Amino acid sequence: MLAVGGGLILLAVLCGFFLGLLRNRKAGAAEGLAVAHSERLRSLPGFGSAIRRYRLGVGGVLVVGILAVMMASYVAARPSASSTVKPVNTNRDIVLCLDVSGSMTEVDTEVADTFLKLVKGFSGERISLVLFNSSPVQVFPLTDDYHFVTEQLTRVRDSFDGNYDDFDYWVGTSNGRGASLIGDGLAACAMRFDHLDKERSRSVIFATDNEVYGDSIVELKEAAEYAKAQGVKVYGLNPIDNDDDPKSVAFREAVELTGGKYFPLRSTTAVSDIVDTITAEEATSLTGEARVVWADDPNLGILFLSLTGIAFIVLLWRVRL
Amino acid sequence: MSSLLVRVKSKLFIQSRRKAVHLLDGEYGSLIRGRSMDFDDLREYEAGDEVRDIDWKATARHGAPLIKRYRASRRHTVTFVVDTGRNMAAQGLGGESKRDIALLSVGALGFLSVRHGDDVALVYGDGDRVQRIPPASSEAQLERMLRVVHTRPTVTSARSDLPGLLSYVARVFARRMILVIVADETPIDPAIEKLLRRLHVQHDILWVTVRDADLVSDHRAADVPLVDVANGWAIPDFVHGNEDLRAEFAAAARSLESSRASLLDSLEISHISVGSEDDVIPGLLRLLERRMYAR
Repeated sequence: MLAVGGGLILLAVLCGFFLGLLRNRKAGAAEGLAVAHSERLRSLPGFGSAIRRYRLGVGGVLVVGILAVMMASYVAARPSASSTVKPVNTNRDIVLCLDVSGSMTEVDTEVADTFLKLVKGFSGERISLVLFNSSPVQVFPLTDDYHFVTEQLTRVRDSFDGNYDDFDYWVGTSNGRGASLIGDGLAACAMRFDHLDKERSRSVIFATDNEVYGDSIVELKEAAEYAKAQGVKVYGLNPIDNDDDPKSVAFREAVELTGGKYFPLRSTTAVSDIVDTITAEEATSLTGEARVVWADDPNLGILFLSLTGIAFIVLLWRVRL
Repeated sequence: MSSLLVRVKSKLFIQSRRKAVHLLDGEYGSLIRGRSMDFDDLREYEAGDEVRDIDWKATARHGAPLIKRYRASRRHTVTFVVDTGRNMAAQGLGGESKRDIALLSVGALGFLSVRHGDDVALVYGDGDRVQRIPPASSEAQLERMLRVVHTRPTVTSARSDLPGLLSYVARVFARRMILVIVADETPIDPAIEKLLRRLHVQHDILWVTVRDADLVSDHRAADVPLVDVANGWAIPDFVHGNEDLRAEFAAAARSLESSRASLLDSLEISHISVGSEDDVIPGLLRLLERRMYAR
């Protein structure tokens, strides 16, 4: 490649040389108006300096031309610059797993409100809503159709607020035997995830008072283990946390088993803050390794190419080659 | 046949409608220094007149020195010394070919001489060879001379050689003559000056300088390159339109012109310089007038 390039340059130089010789020979018998005593002009000191200026100009044209060609080839070679980026992945899957037993509507409303706000900033995240009491009901599956999500969340939120005209949130949630069967609920939520072979962040926001009545098919611990096996982190929200209560302890242990976090809800804590914390944590855990990205960076080259090109043309015009 | 002479005559008569031809015709007489016994008239003394020509009686009556003038009766020979080398094929100051200007100068003066009954002769040549046309007094002779002046100089002729021409004249002619040297802006170097001093002793010399072309154009990029006939050097384009260079060239041309003028003056050679055909007739008139006062 280098040899070919060098050969081409040599060829061009030789061509120029012979063309110049040819032209020079022609100039020897130049046709034009005959004049005499050109020494009248050649003996002038001003003529000498004009020649020097002209030579300088021609040299300048040559240098600037070569610079311009070099710049052009530099730009043509697509100069690129590396930059290190920490890609923020937005491939999160979040399943909102809300216990809709009687005492929970207030928490559920807050969770729904928070996500209604969050959805506006989502891009790429998928979100699903599962309601459960004694039996789980999927309101909508994992989707990134945020318009649809907003619509559904609004309906559910309104329903939590007591507006049942459009939608009864509890429909289908009491088909099991008992109430707040959280083991079944968590298992059902953990099963919502698809494309398990893909590298996505999977999390369940699991809001429940953990007041189990009746027999659940799956124990909370079993459900947590299943979630862990699926790579699903569970974030627990418990409005009636009590450190001494073995139920609360079991809930915390189950949640922490999956690698998630447990948030006791007290009167002073806002659900929105907790959700922010969760999503931020998820984002951090998903921030990929710093990668080196090569991107075209021709701006400086193009600037210099334009400058040298303009200078070349202006000089050419001034020197009148 | 006599086309060139016709051309000269038409120039002579058309260009000088205002009494110029008369003046030229009359003043041609002052070219002639010879005397006859034929008294013509009296005129006022001018510096340079010979003391023995003073008419003392008339001077006493008049109160100022008067000179007797005699009609010249001797047949004179007016020899034109014309460079016909390739320099003369070049362009003159006015844009015409210098040989056309030379042609008109030789033609006008030659015509007057022939009309006056004097012989005209031509010495011409270039670096290779110097030739001559021996004296005769006829329009056919003049036409022959003009033909040489007009056709000999081409860009492929041999180089110009003014010293060669002058030394030929110094070598060959023993008789006293009126020499009309038609040259271009060749600098008068010491060799030429020496020859002129030598010739001045023997002959009466008139010098016609045909001005050379302006080499620096006032507008950029000449359509046709200017090429020096001597060496084929084409004047580079970039000098054209260079105002500083143009001014410098003009100043140099002026100083060359004035130094030539002062040199010729110091040699007591009457001279004019003409840049175009239009300059020739007024120039010759000026030349003859100047001589009238000087002699």
